[in-house]
Amino acid sequence: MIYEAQYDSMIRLAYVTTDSLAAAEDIVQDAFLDLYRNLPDIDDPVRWLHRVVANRSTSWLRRLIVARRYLQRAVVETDHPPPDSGRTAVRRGLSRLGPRYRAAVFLRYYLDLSEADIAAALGCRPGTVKSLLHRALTRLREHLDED
Amino acid sequence: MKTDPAAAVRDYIASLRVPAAPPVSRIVGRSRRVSRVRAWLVPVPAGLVVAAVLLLSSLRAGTGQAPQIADDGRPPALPTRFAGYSYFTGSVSQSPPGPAIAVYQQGWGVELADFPQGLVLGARGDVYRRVDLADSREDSQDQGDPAPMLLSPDGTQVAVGSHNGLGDLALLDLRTGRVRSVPAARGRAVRPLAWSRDERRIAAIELSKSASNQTFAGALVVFDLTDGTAKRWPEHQAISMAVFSPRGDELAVQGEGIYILDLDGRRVRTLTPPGQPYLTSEAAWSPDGGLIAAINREEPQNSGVYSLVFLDPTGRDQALPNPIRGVAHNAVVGWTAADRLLTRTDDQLVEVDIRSAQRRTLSEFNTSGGNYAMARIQFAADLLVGVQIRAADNPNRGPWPIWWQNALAIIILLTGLAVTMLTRRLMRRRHSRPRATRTPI
Repeated sequence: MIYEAQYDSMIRLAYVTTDSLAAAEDIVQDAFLDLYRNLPDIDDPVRWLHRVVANRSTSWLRRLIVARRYLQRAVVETDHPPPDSGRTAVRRGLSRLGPRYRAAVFLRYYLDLSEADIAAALGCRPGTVKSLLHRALTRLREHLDED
Repeated sequence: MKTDPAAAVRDYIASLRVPAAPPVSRIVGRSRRVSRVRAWLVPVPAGLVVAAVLLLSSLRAGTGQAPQIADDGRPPALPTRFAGYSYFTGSVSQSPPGPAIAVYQQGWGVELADFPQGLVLGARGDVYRRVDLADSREDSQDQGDPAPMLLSPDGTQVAVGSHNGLGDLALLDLRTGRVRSVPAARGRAVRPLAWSRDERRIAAIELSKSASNQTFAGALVVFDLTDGTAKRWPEHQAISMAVFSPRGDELAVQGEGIYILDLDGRRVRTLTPPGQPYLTSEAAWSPDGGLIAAINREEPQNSGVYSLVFLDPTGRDQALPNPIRGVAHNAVVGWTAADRLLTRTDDQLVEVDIRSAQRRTLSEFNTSGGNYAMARIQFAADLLVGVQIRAADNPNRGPWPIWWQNALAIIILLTGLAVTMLTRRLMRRRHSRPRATRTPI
């Protein structure tokens, strides 16, 4: 079953991208709803899920950023802060990346997708994925080394 | 020591505590609920509302203050048959009809559904409108009868009194729907009786607030419409009918007897005809000023037989037409010529030659077999002289009444919702039958 097999990783994708577990659950459940409705028309459900969850997570975060600008709220909600200091540093490093960087990092280093698959999920060219990953890792490394 | 960021990211993501996936049935159930709502809750009611609004807009088109019926130059005419009773006649305020030739009350409120209506009939066509002002001023003790109405001689205005002490006489302009208020005695009922031919004055009676349409006599008052003043006289306290002379300088009134007053309330003459005829109509005075038509109850007094008698208001002892027997007690409704009296029966308008007593039916009332009686009718005196008769056409009743439009909108919405829900239930039933199911996610 796609749902049982993919639910966990989709939650992690959305969680990493949005930094909000509640938002991640909403996004992922909505994605599965749409998958359920449109399943006969979807050729590759897993790839479709990657794309939809990544896009919606990015959109959610952008909306949140805009809203925060208006509300001038600097507080970042934290659902489950990892206790370990090294992981906290990773989380901080990820939060300094844009949502598409985070999604690319997740798809590449957690799901081990190829650059072509990541490009398909993010709706960009493979060359762009390579660039996204390179910059993301550079920034993460700098951040982790600083810590 | 250099940190491998890819490994650190992998470790961080793996450390995230992710709640267990909820049962897929909850997701699917949410899908069904959401799809059910999305499928019809928004578009169908929205469509219904749009349909209702469009319908109401079309029905209400033309509602406003502008006259709806243009004066096309045709002479005033009476239809060969009045339109039947209808619940769907629009109101003067919604769609002013222009000058009217008649104002009338249809329905006594004694049959199953003949709720009394105050109506006007257009002077130049089969245009009918409810006098909603009279409906709004009705008194509860009048059992649904509209407030007393009086049509001006030129047919352009209706004066509406009240039995509930509103303290004014309302003048409704049939060309625009506008209402003008003329002050009356505060807390007293007022019933307009006669309108002078020059349109300047209205003779009325004022009654106690407890008066109803069963109270016949009251204190005479003459309103001057040019300045809103009124004249009252302590000696004229029990007047049941008043009739202006054609020149408007005298007033015949029915009190203890019939007598003529000048406009200062002084008794000029007392008419002493044989028997005890009485004035029943504001239209009793002939247009040439030479005669007054009155009604006499024939012997025996309880026979229910009435006759038309003619009185001399001039005091010149002129020769009078002979009485005409066999008329209704409320027969006198106007004059079509100096020697032709327009009379009514329960279901007809009959012109009577007062010299030869020849009768000619001009028009019929559509009472649906007597179920919707022509309770009262009064004509625009100026338009009646030389009036033509034309074949009745389809009645123009104007836009549907507001209450009916609102009721229709609600009916449309409820029907639409019921059909939608029924359709969806049938579709759900059909979908719930065994068939090739959707691939589970």
